[in-house]
Amino acid sequence: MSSSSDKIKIYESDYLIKAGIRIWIDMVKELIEFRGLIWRLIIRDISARYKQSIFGILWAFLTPLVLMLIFVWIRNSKIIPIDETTMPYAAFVFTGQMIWLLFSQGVISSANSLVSAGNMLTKINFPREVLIFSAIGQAIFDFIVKIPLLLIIFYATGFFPDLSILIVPFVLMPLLILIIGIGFFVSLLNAVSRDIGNALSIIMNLGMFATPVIYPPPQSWPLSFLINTLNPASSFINISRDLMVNGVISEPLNYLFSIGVSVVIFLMGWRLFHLTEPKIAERI
Amino acid sequence: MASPLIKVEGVSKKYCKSLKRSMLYGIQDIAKNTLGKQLNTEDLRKDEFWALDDISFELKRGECLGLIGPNGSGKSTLLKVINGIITPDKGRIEVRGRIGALIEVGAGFHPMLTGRENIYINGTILGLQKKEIDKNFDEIVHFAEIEEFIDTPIKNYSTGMRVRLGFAIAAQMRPDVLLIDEVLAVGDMGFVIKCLNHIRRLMDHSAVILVSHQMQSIARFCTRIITLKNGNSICDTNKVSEGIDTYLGMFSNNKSFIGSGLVEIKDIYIQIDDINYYGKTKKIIIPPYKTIYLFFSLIITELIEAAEIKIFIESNDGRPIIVFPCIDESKILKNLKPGKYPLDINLGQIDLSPGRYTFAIAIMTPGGHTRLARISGTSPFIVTGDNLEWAPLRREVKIKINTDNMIREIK
Repeated sequence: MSSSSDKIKIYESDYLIKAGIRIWIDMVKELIEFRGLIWRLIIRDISARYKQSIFGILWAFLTPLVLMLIFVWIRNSKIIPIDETTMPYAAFVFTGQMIWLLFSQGVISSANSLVSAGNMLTKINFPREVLIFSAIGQAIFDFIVKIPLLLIIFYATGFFPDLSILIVPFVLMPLLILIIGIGFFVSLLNAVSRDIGNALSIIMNLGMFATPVIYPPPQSWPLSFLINTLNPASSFINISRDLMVNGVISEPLNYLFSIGVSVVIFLMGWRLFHLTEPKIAERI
Repeated sequence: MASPLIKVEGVSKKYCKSLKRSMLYGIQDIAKNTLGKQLNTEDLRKDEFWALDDISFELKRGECLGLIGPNGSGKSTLLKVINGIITPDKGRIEVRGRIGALIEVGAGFHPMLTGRENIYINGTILGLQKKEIDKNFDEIVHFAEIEEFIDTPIKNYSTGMRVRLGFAIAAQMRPDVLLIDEVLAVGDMGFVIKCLNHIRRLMDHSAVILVSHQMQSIARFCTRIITLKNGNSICDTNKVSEGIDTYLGMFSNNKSFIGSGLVEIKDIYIQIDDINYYGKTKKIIIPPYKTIYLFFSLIITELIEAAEIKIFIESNDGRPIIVFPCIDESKILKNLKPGKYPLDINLGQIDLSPGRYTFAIAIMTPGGHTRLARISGTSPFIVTGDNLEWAPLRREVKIKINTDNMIREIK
């Protein structure tokens, strides 16, 4: 504890701007220092959620499972024509759902993370970033618990994934960065005006249809550009399926572009968030 | 050690009264910040006001600053600025070492989780390492006195239990700078005493800022007082009693009068050393150990069979210090016909400690069954002196050694 007593903190009206480029080092240092807190908050949120429900983890399965069944039925009854997919349709929808839910849940919970921390923000001083970083924990956890179910669905539909399915988790890493990056922006906006949180759940519900979750990636221009390229979530779903099917990536450029977009959004969001941080407590 | 742990230089903070406008300003400020533009912090925009205005002080290890002032005077805002929760609009704050803030203990508790889980979460939020929490876990539980309920969800805890747990966790921080904001209001007496003792121990190696409305705690702990009013520091002093007096003086105009309408108490004044303070509005300041005379008139509107008079001297927080029951030897308070009765009463020499006092006069029927009139907060006077005491009365005594019973050596 004596080591910390030499540490000087300075609070000034324009301190953060003065600090300039060095701030990045501070930001990373702070993140490393508070990694324990991020972990603790993740565990807190998960255990609190499952304590309050009898079916617990089952709920994580339910949404994608029900949606999967609905879309399989819709396709089979030919209400909406959906093109042939690279893997059995049930498995196709479920993989899409898993990744989409990771994205939408993550974004929504980080949007609410500042607002729901309320009291903590106005009374305790800690880096507010940890709330955003820990907000995706829940979504990641839900993603992981669905994996056994995914394997069951693979087995049931007679689909045997390529061995390169094992690199899918690594391929999805930039998606987490994208979620956190978007989380920085939406959480701030939501702190200023709660409208964002409400709008976001609608956007996320509709967004699923602008992403190749229930249909294969469109091949004709301009839809292929709008959906596969401009929507940064799409290429993560596409590449994951490609890897599961035969390990051949069909559109590597789109994936690289998505990584680029994710990193830019993440860095911009983090910087903005860090600048704005001292004002957050006042506006909550 | 000699360098100050807290250095506050000309700190100001403005707030906006209107919520809509505050959101607008918030977005504007964030946008300007992002573009790297200098914010204009000097001027107030529409609906803004200074919640803190040009506050400066320094605090060293072992010192305790008492922040007092009426509600909304900026005390909590100042603590939050020092704690880094909100940034100042002007000025600069330098804090050395670990900050421990007891601003609202238990913020961040999750109601669904058990006490055990919450200790780890809350401790981590406050900046404790897991090792530190492990090491102090038993002590925290013991201090909070919740051994039995440690594995019960917090939502089933009483308010007092939550506060105890929150304080127990925060108390383990051993901070260099300790900020305390009226957190102990909910605990029971035993726990409050325990906390105060703990704070006292922490104070030896930290600089403390204490916000409280309880002048006893302020007088007990503080070495320095800043009295805030509407965001301004109106008194900054090392004389604790003086600081407390300015605060209590803010409420002193609360003269209250209760009565039946049958009796009125008028023309109250005091006299000390032949100086008559009749009609004087300025402060009456007297040295200790003076003989005080009190004068007042009773105005009777209807016949009163019998009455009794009691005079009180009250301390600045309204506690009665002494009561003077008036002995009516010459039966002047029997069968009072309507009219005006001027009275003068010798209260004798009064051993009041330095501080600010007021009089209260009560007229009632014998035995105190019906109150005819009562006036309080009247004729304020200040007793000067260098000897700060918390006890309201002060009498110096001489000591003597009884030579007959003295034992020269203890074997």
